[in-house]
Amino acid sequence: MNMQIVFRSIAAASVAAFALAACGGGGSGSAAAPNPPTNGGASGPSTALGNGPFLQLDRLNRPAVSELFATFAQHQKNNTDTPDDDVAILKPEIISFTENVAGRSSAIATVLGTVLTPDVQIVDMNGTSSSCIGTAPGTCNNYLGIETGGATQLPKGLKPFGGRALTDDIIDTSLMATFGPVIPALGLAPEDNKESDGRADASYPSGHRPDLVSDHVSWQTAPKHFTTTFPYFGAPQ
Amino acid sequence: MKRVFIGLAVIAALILGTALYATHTTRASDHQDSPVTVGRPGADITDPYIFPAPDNPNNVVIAMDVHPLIPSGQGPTTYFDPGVIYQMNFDGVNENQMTPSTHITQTFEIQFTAGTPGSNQPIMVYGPGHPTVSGNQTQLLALTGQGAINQSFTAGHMKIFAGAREDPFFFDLAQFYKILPDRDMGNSAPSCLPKIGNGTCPQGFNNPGMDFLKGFNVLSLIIEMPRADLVAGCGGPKIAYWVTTNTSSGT
Repeated sequence: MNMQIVFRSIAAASVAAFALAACGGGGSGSAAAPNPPTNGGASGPSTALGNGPFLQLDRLNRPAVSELFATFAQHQKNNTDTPDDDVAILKPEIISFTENVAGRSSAIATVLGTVLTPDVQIVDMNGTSSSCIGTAPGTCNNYLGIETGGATQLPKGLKPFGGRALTDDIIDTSLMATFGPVIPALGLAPEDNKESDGRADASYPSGHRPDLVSDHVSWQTAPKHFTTTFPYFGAPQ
Repeated sequence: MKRVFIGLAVIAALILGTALYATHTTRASDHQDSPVTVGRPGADITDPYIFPAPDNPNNVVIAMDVHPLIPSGQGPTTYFDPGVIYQMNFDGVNENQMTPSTHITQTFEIQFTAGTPGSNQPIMVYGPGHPTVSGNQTQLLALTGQGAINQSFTAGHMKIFAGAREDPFFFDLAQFYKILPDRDMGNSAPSCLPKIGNGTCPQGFNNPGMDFLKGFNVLSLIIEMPRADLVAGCGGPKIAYWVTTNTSSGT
């Protein structure tokens, strides 16, 4: 998918807000009445779990963030802590990987670490973007649509819903941001000319830089068997 | 070597039909991502999703996948862990922010538990509602519905499916581990990036790549519900979402 072009199209006006993750409260607001339980047929739960409290064993939001940026040894810590811990624990891992392993500038690494923490998916229930099911690879994307101010939203012209759709190529998006020209193109950090995007480069024995901005797998080539009716996820194989 | 090992594991799964979970040391997305989750696959989260409902613009689809790498043909006979609370967490985000504040804690949630494993394994649904405990602990909300594994049912405003599905994640994991070996369990070999290209590392991804998850299944918890219910519960339309699993022991 052509995320490079997607990212390049971000409006400059969104840059400042994009880079500044802090401020404000993440509170629940007015706490209106939740969805009322209406299933009168439910009897007592068929479980013997007891009253708890129960302890967190695993946590996940943006897949590929933890996988790409943290070594295996770090994972259990991230699994058992909370989003409130991400700035202190996960952000330094993202910065360290981007700078020391991917070889990018510290400015680019810092932007990535800031954008990707806390590790939660943001959605806008007023968004008008679609589920993307049934669309061709590279033509529809919701992933990181809110966090990037619409830069990753496809097709253009729709108010981003964000979150993550079944067809979203989250790996390519993550790789492009880490190894590609996305951050400099957004004006969020100076160009470091250290992209690993397959471009011609005589200083490499192969004559070109390695291609690390896409794994060249899409939902269509995999292939996955998503459906247009509930439950949307493909039948077991 | 890693690729060879992965290849053998896949062959073992597909041909022999063995449960390769205990011996298969790999992870994708978030599959098998720590020794604790490897030891308890029913609590091992692979992927969360939240997207506009394809069939109704007023609805949202919320999902979490667990139990990685269920071999082909074994989805219908794989069950949820009855000792696990599967939890979808939400928190309202300031409308004017693109990224969340540094303080995010669940203020609204939906939970699932499962009964005795079997072809009619009961699936219990709790909430949506406001938690009494937050952070990395939880307690069950009020029960709002009950159904069975692999059969759609409703609870309140929620349409629910809990059961085996094709793993929707796609990734050339085998090549990824060749490039970055220390992302994999049991492998501390350092990456040779950014020196990649010096002849000692793979020259990036292959084109075309190969989906490592092809043929594998997961256990999915899928909800379709009105967007308005989440907006009301979270105090606004902009919402942070993440998923967790919990047990009485934390292991």
